[in-house]
Amino acid sequence: MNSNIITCQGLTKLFGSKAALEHIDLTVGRGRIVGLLGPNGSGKTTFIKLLCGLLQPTSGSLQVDGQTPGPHTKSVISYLPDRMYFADWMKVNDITDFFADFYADFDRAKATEMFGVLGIGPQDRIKTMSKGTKEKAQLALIMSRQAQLYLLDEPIGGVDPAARDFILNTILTNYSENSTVLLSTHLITDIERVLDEAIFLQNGKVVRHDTVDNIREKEGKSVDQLFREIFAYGSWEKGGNTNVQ
Amino acid sequence: MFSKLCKYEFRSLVRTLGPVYLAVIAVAIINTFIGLGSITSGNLNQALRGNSVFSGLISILQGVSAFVYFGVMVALAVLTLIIIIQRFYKGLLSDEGYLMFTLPVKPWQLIAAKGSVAFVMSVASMLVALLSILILVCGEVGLVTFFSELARGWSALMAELSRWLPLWPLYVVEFLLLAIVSGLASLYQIYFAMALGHLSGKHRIMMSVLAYVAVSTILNIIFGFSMVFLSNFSPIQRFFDQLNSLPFMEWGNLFIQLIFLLSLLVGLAQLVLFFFGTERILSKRLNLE
Repeated sequence: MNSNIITCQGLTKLFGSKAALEHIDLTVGRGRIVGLLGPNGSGKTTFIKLLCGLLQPTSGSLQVDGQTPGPHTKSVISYLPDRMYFADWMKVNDITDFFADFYADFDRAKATEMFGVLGIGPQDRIKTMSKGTKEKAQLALIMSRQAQLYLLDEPIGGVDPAARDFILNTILTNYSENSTVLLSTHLITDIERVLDEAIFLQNGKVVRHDTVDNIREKEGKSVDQLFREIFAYGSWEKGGNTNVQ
Repeated sequence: MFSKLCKYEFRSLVRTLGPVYLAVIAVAIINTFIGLGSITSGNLNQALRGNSVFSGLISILQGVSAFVYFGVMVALAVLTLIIIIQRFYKGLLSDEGYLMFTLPVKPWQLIAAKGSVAFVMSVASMLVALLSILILVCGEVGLVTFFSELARGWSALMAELSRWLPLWPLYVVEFLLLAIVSGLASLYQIYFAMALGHLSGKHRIMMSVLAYVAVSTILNIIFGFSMVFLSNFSPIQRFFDQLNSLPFMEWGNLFIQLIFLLSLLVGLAQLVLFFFGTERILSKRLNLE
């Protein structure tokens, strides 16, 4: 087993001539909860899509569990996109069957239990669910896999604070010791307590990657405060980038 | 994995096309009682001859049910095509693509599953259309007459065929082969156009339509040019001159075989081009919104 779950070198993704990610060098170990933090348009979603093979890098290399994205990496990644990705005619039963069919690491009992807690019935149709319920149902499925890497793109973006707590608890109680959770967000206060590491992305570049403990120790401030400093409007024109490692 | 992909594809296509099939069959059955191919309409007209109100009503009903039948037949053809296109576009190139392209499978498996299931469903649509026509014919002439006539016609046909065209089983096999290859090639041409449209950042649907027209035009031009070129190519002319000197039956046979082989090769070439073109684009240039 490769010691790092994610390794990228010089990872670059261009859309036309515009760089969404520029020369990312990064390694992420196993058994970590990592926050991918940055304002809108900083490249968070692009990075996650590259990891799960929905985009191909323009240059540089990217490995998950020691392999370039392909069927193997997809079988060890559990990915929560920032949208509903099931056909809306499907019932909860259907999507559970679907996951059980395609993912060997899917734990049906766990999914059923989580649906029960959420009050989602097996015959419920996706179409009739509220936006928040859809997100919770999808997260319950994603977290019912024994994956090595969970990629959660804005998992708490569209839900109320109570649901937010449920989601964070679900993440915390369901990921196993050796798996890594990488979650992107700009709502840092809510997730700061669960993070081991933080990656700050700005304009497609990693401006800081450190453990949360280090940040607190060295800077004497919370990740949220640091985030506000790094990404304060206009700060980068005034040399706000001094925080870059 | 491939069979699982096909399973889910079947379920979602049957879900949408199944009701259309049922409607076609139902309307055909209704038409055997009133309207097209009706057993009873003649009798009804006879019985209601004296009553102008009723016979007028019946003839309106007959007209309406015949009209509805043509309506559902057109709907069958159009919906089959639209739903096949929509299954590819929504299932791979829209939000559902986030699910499908993160499954632990290769992109070619996704594309192959879509194409083969869509092909089977197109055949199913044709069979349903055929079945509805059979129902109408049975309704018109009666079940017993129909099958006894069919059996008589069949054995007569077989006798004629084996007398005049002893090679007919070969032709049937060749025809089926060609139908499968060219059917798949036309399906994958649609997919390829959608993949090309996907390369464009915006107006992807419009660009897909343009890509389809462009690909068809280019293929026609290539085909036209190679025809002109080949017909002026002296070895080919000499070959046809030699063919002409053979007796008619042998000449015809050889000619048909040649045309078949050529069409099969052209169809296969198109299928390979469209399949791998789609596969390359969706492997390397996928960019879901």
